[in-house]
Amino acid sequence: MDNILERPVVETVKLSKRYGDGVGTWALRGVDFCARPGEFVAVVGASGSGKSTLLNMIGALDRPTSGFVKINGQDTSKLDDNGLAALRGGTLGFIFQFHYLLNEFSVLENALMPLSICNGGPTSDDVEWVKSLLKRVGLADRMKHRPGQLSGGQQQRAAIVRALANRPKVILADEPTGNLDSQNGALVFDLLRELNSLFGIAFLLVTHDDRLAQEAERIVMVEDGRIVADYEVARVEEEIDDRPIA
Amino acid sequence: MSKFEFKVAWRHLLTSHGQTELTMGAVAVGVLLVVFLSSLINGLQVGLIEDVVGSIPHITVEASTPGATPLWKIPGKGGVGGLVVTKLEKMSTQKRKIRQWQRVSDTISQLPGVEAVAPTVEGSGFVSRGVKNQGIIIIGILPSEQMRVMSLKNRVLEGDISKVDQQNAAIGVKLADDIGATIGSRIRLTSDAGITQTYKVAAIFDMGIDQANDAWVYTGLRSAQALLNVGKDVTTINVRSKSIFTADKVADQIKSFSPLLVTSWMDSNKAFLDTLRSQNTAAVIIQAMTLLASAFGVASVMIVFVVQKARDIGILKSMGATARQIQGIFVLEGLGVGIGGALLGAGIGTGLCFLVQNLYLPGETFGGKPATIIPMQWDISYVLAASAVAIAVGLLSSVVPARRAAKLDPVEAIRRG
Repeated sequence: MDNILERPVVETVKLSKRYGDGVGTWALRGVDFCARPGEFVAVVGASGSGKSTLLNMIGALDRPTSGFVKINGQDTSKLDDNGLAALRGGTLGFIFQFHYLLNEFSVLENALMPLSICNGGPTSDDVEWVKSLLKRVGLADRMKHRPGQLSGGQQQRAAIVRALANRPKVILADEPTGNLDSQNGALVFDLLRELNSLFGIAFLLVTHDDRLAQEAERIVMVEDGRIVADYEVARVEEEIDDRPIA
Repeated sequence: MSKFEFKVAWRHLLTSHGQTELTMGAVAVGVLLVVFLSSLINGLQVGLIEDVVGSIPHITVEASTPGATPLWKIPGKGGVGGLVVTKLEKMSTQKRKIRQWQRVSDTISQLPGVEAVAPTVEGSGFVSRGVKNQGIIIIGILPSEQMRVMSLKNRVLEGDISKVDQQNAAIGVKLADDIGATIGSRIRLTSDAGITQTYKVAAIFDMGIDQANDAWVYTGLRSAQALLNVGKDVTTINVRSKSIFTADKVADQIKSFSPLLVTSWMDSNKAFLDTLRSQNTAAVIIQAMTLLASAFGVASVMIVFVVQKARDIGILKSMGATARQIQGIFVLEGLGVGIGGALLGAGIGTGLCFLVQNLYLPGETFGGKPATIIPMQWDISYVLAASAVAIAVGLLSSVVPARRAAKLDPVEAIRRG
């Protein structure tokens, strides 16, 4: 019997994406990729390499030119727009480089937004769950504040809680520390790692920061729309440790 | 639509940095203008109609005058040509009597479009006071009924027209001036039938028509019947329709069961009616243009709003919001703007109408009341109609921007927003 923990939560098969008509520009070229539940994967690569496009395809925000994406075993190419919306709301969570919190709503309301969208409004259990997350990320006394009243780090932490509110299976984070200073960036990264180990959610993190990427379990390197390297950080460290000292 | 759409739309409206107020203002100005213009035009028209129709009943029912009676016919060959000798009736100044008028009156009063019915008897004669004599038209009325058919009270300058009976009469202001009569003066009326009776002047009226002010004399119905020697008959049944503009329809209804001569005020004032219709058409065009301008105002601000909110739309979509939900948010915003603008415009428009309505010309009166500078005629139906149209305008104006919002590609929206 198939072990559910071993079954990939994200899978792409020959995923390609071309922008523009005619010849166009290929952002992804036949990418095969998978991530298992609870994995913490860093996607690295130069600007324009296609890593954000890969994240958008996996996040069902964009449709591929060819190939397909499976999220939790579900082929997204077979879903209509409403089906994709339901998938985004129920299975996926997004964290962007900027917090993108809605300024008209308080921190708590922002964090509850995915539940309001998909479940017709949060239940009291949902509210308690989100409040506990906000407490865990150090925003217990900022729940009623508007995003504009928070610091950059606090805003990003609120955005992280929002991504977790729906208890997703996969969190897609596009440069989540890119807009923060190194201290706040490290704090946010540590928080992501902590939540990953705590809830067993798969994290796919696009980053430019090699130092942060090295903290991930696995690194996927994208170059010119292709995955050119895919390795587990722990094994590399072991290999380095195993090398005989000259 | 779920609570989510209402909540987001409401928050957008509350925190739009003046855009909500701007769009509501555009809608409110539209509603205000429609309410104010409708009240103004209606007020002016009611004033005009009152001047023209106030002194006459909406519909008059009289016995028809017979045509010439053939005395002798010589048929032509094959039915063509021939000779007819007719009897020409002598022109009579007296109106013909309506037979069984009470039955006719009862039937008319039961028609659905009829508000009131009043019988009158009319005939010519002359008035004498001292050495002065003048030709007049004697009109016998039942004051309480006649006042339900015509706005007589507003026309009275002095005295009390409800006192008109067998001893009291009401005369026109010009006639009073010509014969030197005032309230309480005694006048002698002599009909064409040669019967004379004395009356006291109980009221002096101004009908706004020279002929009426110069020649009409109201007396009690029974007294006039005796004076004109018509027994218990009447010559005219005056009818008031529920709406002044349905008089022709009511007249047609009466014609359908009665051979009598039925004339509505609309038959005898066609040119005036055409002017009113043109005025109404012009007013409707102006009001439609105003609301159209409001619609464009709302639509353009909403489009800008959608552009400004593009990133939020992308984020909401990334969290699972469907195109339908996004469209719902912006349609609700348009609806909110429409409702808010309608309430604001209706409130200010109504206030303005009542303010203008209470501006009086100092020292001048009309029908015993202070004369207004602008005769406004406010009606709740204008407010309801203008508000309903404004809400529809807000809703429809938001449909295109809402669709644009719904179609936004989340990746593009987040990147460009």
